[in-house]
Amino acid sequence: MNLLFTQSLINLAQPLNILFLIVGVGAGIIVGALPGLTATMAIALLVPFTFSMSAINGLVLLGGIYCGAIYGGCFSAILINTPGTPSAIATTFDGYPLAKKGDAYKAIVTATISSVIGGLIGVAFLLFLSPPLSKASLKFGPPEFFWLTAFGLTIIATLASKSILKGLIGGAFGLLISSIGIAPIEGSVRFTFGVVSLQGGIGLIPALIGFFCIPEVLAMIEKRDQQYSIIPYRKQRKVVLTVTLKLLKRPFLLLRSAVIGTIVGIIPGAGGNIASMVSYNEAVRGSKYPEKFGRGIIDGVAAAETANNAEVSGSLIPLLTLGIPGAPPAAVLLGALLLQGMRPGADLFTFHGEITYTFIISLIFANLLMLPMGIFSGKVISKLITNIPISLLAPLVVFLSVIGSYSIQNNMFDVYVMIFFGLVGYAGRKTGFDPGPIVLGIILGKICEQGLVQSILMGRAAGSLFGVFFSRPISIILIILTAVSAAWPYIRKLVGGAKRYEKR
Amino acid sequence: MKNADRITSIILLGICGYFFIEGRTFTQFGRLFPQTIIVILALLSLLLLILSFTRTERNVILGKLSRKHIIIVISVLLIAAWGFFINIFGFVVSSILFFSLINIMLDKRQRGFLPVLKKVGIITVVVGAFYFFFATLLLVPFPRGYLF
Repeated sequence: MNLLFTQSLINLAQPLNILFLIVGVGAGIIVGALPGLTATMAIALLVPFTFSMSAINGLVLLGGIYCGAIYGGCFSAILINTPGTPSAIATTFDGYPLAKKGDAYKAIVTATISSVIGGLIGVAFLLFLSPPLSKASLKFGPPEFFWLTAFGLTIIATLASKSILKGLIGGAFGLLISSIGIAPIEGSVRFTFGVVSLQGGIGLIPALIGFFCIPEVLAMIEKRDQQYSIIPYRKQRKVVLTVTLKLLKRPFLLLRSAVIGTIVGIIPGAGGNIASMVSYNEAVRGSKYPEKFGRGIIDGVAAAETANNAEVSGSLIPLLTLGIPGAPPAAVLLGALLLQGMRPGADLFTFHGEITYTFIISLIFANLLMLPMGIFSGKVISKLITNIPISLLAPLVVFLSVIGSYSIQNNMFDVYVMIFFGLVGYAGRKTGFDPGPIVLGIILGKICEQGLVQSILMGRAAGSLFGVFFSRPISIILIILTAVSAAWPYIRKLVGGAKRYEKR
Repeated sequence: MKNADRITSIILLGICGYFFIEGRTFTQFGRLFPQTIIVILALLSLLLLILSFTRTERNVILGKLSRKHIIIVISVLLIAAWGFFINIFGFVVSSILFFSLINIMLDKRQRGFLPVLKKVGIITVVVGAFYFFFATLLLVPFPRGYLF
C-alpha cells in the first residue's frame, strides 16, 4: 500500500500529469460555470479523447474536469442565480442573496473554501473505504450482482427522476436497449433489425454522449434569447482570511455536509443536486438561526458546496469497487475505465493499483488546485458566463460530440447512434423523462442480465432457484435495501420529508 | 401535442409489442431477460396511459407552433444532416459547413455578407485547429469522405 502511494505520487509529479490536472480543473471550472454545460457532458465529450492517452493521463484529466465542473457551478449560481450544474442548485439559495448584498466575492470565497474541504473529506472516504469494499466485492456472485443492479435501478428510479413512474420506465427502457446485440448466454442475435453494426450492441459512449450532450445543445438553442444580468464581481480585502476563520469555527457544519455528500454519492444514481439539497436542509434544521437562511448567509453556501464536492468522490466508491456508478458523471467515467481495459472491482486496487491510486490521489490535488484557481480566476470566469455566445457553444458541442462518438471505434454508425439517442433524449426531456435512469439502465443491463441468467443456471444445477436468489446473506441485505429504496418515496411521504423539501 | 404522456405511453407500448414479437425467435436464455423487461415496461407504460386519462392536469409539450419550435426543428435537421454528410463531404468540410450554418442561424446580431464571411473564416480556423490538435497530436481518428 505504502509503495503504491509513493509510486502514485511519483506518477503525479510527472510534468504531463501536472499539466493535465491543471487543464482538467481549469476546463472543468469553465464548463461548470457556463449555464447549460454540465460535468456529465464535459466528461462524456472528453472520454473518447483519452483513448489515445495512457490510463493515468486520461483519468487524471477526467478527474480534474469532474471536480472542477462540480465546483464551477457555484459561479453562475452566485452571480446570475442560475446553477451552472444541477449540483449547484442549493448554492443559489444563499449565494445569490449574498451577491445581491454586494458580497459576491465573499460568497465565491466561501464556496471555494467549502468545496475544497468537502472534496478533501470525500477523497479521504474514497481512499479508505474503497479497498475493503473492493475486497468484499470478491464475495459477489451472479445472484448478488443481479440484486445489486436491482437495488441500483430502484434508487435511480426514485431519486433521479421527478416522477417515480417515469424513472422506472426510463430504467426499463435503458435495460431493453442494453439487450440489443448478441446475448451473453447462448449467443442469440437480438433486436438488430438486420443491421450488422448492431450485433456488438449499442456503444456505451455514443449513447452517453447522445443522451447527455445533444439534449443540452437543443435546450441551449431554446434558451438562446435568455439574457442574464450578472452581479459585478469585485475583490474585497481580507475576505479570504475572515471567511476561512468563520468556516473553521463551523467544523460540525462542514463535516456533516461532507458526510451527507459522500453518503448520497455512494447511493447509485443520486447526484450532487440531491446531496446539496439534503445538506442544505440539514444545515437549516441544525442551525441556531434558521430564519437567516435564504437571505444570504455563508452557512447556506458552505453546506451546499461542501456536500456537492464531497459527493464527487462518494460517487466513485461504488463505481471503483462494484462497477455501479454513484452519479451520472461517474457513469461516464465507467466508460473511460472500460476503454482503458480496466474492470471495476478488486482488480483495480491490486492489478491496476498504481493507476487507481494515482487517480484517487490526483483528486486530492485537483481539490487543492481549485483554491487558487477559483479565487484568482473569478473575474475571468464571471466574464465568460455572459460573453460566450450560444451560437458558438451549441455547434461546438455538436462538433465535439461527432468526433467523440466516432473516435471510439472509427465507425460512422456510432455517430448515427449518438444522434439518434440525442434526439430520443431530447424528446424524453420534453416529456419528463430524465436521461439518468435510461443511461444507468443501459450500463446496468448487461450486469443484470448476466447475473439473472447465471443465477438461474446455478439454481437449476443446485436444484433450488429460491435458495440461490433468496438465501445468500449478501443477497438478503441487497433485497432488503431494494425493497426499502422502492418504497422510499412512500415512506418519505409518511414521515413528512416531502413537505420539508417542498417548503424550500 | 396535447397530452405527451398519452402519446409516449402508446409509442412505448408499440415498441414493447414489436420487441416482444421479435424476441419469440430467440433461444430460451436469449429471450429470458429482454422479454421480462418488455413485460415490465409494457405494464408501466399501460399505467402511464391510464394515468394520462385520469389526471386532470395535462403534460402539454407543444402549444402553438412558434419561431422557437421552427428553430429547434431546423437545428435537429442540421445536426442529422451533419452526421449524414460526413461520409460524403468528409469531416472537415461538413463540419465547417454545418458549424457555420448553425452559428449563422443562431446569431441574430450580425447579418450580411462580410460578417458571415468573417464567421466562416473563424469557424474554419477553429475546425482546422481541432483537426490538427486531435488528429496530429492526440492521434484521434477522424471520419473521411470524398473530400477532406
